[in-house]
Amino acid sequence: MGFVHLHCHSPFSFLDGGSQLEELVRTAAEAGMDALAITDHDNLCAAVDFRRLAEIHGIKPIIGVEFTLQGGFHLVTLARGARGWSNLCALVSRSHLKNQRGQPRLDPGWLEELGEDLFAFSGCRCGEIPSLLLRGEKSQAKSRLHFYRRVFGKRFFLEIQPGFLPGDRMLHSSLHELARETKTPMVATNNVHYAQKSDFWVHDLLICVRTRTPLSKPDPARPLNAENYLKTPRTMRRYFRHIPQAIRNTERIASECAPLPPFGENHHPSVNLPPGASSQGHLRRRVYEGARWRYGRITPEIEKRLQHELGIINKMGYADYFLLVEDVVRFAREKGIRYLGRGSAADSAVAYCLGITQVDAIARNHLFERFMSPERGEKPDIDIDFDARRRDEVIKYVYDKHGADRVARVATYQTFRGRSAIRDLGSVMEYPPEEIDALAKTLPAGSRAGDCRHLIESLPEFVNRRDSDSRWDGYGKLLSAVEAVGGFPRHLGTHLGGLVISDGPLREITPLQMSGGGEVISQFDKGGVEDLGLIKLDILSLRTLSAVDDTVCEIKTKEPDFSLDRVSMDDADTYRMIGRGQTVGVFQLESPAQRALQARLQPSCLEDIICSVALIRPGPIKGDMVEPFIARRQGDEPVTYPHPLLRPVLKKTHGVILFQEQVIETAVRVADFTPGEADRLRRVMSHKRRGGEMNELRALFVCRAQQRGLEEKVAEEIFSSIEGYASYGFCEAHAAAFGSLAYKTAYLLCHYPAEYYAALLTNSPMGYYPPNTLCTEARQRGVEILGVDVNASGAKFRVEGRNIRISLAQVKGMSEEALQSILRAREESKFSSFDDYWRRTRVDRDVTENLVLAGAFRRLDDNRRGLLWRLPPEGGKGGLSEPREGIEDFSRWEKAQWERRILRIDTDGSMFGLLRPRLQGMGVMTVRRAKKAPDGRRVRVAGEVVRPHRPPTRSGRTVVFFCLEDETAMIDVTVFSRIYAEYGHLLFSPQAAFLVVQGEVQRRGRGVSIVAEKIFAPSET
Amino acid sequence: MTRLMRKETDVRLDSSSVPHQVLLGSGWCRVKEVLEVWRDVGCWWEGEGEKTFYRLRMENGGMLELYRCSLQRKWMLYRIYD
Repeated sequence: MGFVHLHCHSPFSFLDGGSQLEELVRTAAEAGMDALAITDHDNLCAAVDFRRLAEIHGIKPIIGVEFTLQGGFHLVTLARGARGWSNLCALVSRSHLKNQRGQPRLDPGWLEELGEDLFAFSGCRCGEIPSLLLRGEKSQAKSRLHFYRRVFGKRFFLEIQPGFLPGDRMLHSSLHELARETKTPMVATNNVHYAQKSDFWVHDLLICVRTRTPLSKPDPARPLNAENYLKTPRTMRRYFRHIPQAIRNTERIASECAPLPPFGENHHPSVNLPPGASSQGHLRRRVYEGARWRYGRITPEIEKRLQHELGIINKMGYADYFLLVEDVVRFAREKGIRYLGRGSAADSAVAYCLGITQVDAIARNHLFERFMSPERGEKPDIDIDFDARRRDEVIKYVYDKHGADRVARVATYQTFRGRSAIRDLGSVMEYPPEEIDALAKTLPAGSRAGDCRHLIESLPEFVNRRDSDSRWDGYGKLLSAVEAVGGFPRHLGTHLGGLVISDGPLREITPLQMSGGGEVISQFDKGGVEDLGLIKLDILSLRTLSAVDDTVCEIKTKEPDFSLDRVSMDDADTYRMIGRGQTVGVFQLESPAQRALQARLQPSCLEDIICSVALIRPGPIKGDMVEPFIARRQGDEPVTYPHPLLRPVLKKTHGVILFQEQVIETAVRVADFTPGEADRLRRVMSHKRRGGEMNELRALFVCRAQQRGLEEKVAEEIFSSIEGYASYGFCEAHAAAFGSLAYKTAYLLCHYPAEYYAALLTNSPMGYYPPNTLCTEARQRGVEILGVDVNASGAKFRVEGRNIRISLAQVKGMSEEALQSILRAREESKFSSFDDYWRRTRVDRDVTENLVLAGAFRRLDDNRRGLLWRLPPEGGKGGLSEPREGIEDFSRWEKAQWERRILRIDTDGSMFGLLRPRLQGMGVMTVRRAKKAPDGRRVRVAGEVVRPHRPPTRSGRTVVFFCLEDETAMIDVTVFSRIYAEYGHLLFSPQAAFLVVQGEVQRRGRGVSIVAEKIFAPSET
Repeated sequence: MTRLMRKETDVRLDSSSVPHQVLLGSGWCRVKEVLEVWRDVGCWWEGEGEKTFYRLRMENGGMLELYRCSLQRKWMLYRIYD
């Protein structure tokens, strides 16, 4: 007689499951169980992953839910088949959507409607019947049992658990007696919350996090013992040897349940189909209409390509998907909403003809199979970026078009990362809050929880602090806990732009709940909804598109005929500017690494920009593709090819295999692979899957190449050459989509710097640099930054002549209401005095104080301290007090500091200007002067540290890059590992802001940087 | 009424490893019935081991609780019911 665990919580019980899903499945399989059920609290999040893992480990996945009923009782349910799955989804959705967010409650009455095809168990001690029995209310328990028997019939079971809790004997005896009296079957479970007994502490810690209970304090939700593990069938049988039918029933139930959730179904909605038309036929018509719009005349080459793509799209069943995406982008176009189709979708001519992407895949000879191939069988993924400010209009359109019951947002599973784990666990483990805060802040952003110990033991910013502070020795237990919870889902989040759309009510296909933002979300993530046969649409937002739109609008006020679509893509001035590395603010080309690349590459055509987008990525950097590319592009190194056959494939990248599409094309040309086979080769190579699959592909490649007349040795060489680079390649279609936008933003910056920087500042935060850096760069281009002015500033940064006026919205604390109040009052007439402003607006005291400190009244009365004196006391209301004589204003230094703090902009660079005499005394020169110094000259500069980061390097060593910015310019600084070990604590300290750097000037191409030798705070001299 | 004892004692087990006789004072007392068994992990974060508790009715009519700690491997008389 076997046994199956039918009541088991995964980590998706969110802070109530102490083992990873895979560990649970593996443990069950190793213990010889044929099946396992996952029954998380009020959700089905684990279902898709669980089914996949169960298939891998050879056990049957049974899916269920432990519902929380009205009154807080628990009820365990399992889906028997597809109808049961659908009912579970509907019950989960209803219990979430009909109750307050975060407090799902199931009304037992719903079970009469939706209980079909479900098994139900009475639950743990929190179950309705066990609770009544524990309270001695046997007749009431019997009455509730009759209700569940009426709903579920023989599919309702009294659940009995070896919990080793006080009162178990009495409870078990009562359950047994009730079962006998009512002829209700029993089922043995263990209310599993972790795989092994030794994992108990993780579960307890997570409950403490959930209930915010310090570890040393009791809480009713905390377990008394470590018995809720995946006990072996033998242990369970031994414990319930006196009730063998409770054990037998586990196998009977498991045998009746089908593996769920259902995979491979198709829930694609049909869009705009004329009566009688098929999706395939309608898509074909739309594509050919689009081809005529794009190309004018459809040549045989275009015809052949479109037929090829349509054949694959139809074969794979995605005609509806393309029509759906086309419908969305057509709406955006009609409404003038800027968008950009990116990713591998730009490998598709169909997507181009439908207006989804802007990259001509035929002209660029992109391979469609990188995007879709029957051999790969994966669902196509079209990512579209929309103007960030107008994305919600697009999302609303999708809801309106398909119906709110057929559209939902896609979930993301927010897992414990290093910082969140340290904060959560440090708090319940009762470490001092200030220590936890400092520890978390010092960890690099995005650190994985599992890497924390290594980082803390190796990064200089930790090592230096640990050496000087004995408290750091006590973090061992915390780090063990952090490692243990690494990767556990902490809570459900909302995908940035993922929408799931179906052909029927979603609540019957996927469980739904409310997000923190008040939107209905599926409980599944991107992969999960696709596995269920639903269409997922990525409607992402890109602030760059908002900035571009603002810039173009501003330009059009002076040049009404201006169109970004018509700008020259060969503008020499734009390429010269890029080649000087002056690309702060340019989409994709502004990072220090990109600026350094451009200064060496000297781009002169769009292809150079596209290659640049692909080059500065971890893969190409680690794969040492950057240096050969630059040398060949500059003519410093001959362009060679692994074989003459590859010349046409690699010509545009000077013989360097840079793009994934090139690997595919090589296999097609050399070895006569079908594009689908070639894409499989790319994926095997890029995932570095060695062994059987790679050997099989190598043999096939060589064999086919020989059939085409190549010698075996040559074929082997070609295979080895692409194998070496394949794992570093980047998607060309994506690079082309981004490269084009990168060039256009560079064009705007080159010819309309005030308009472009004003737009970037308005749409901040965006891009790589903070507002102050953008202002410093603007000043470099002769654009002055004008102070915020209550009579001149608008809601956005605006262009005045050739200069930029700081917006009112930039003032810290400025609310939309306050902003509108100022603008409305000013429409009537400009403010004549501070009193006039106070009288005619409804701006509160605190915002007014910030306006004063930011200098917004400087043209009315610039004694800022005097104005502050006139404001009512904090929290007080009423009028301004009368002006007082003799109040001394803030010093220039104080004014500059306040402006910086409140606007995050040093308006006229005066902060550094005031420090300059002191800095000169320390031998510090301006950054502008240092940038003119010859190669190898030792310099000392001071400034604000901007974006220190540790990107991956080819050598694997840690190298830190940051920008140092003063009032004159910004310069890139490189800190190699030895110097980093000495000074890293300064760079990554939460207090790091203003530092002096001493080092050697390094010139490469037209780029200049400093290699740091010494770093210190100005106060240290 | 109950009295907390927390006193080390000795216990004889039956073939199922369940307490059969308990040393009370100077003599062994036979267990009539095991009323309850439960486990408690205590303050695990301070290194405390898991304890298995037994509530027993003795043949002499008395009732008591005792436990065995998994780390210390000792039997402790925990509570006596008056």
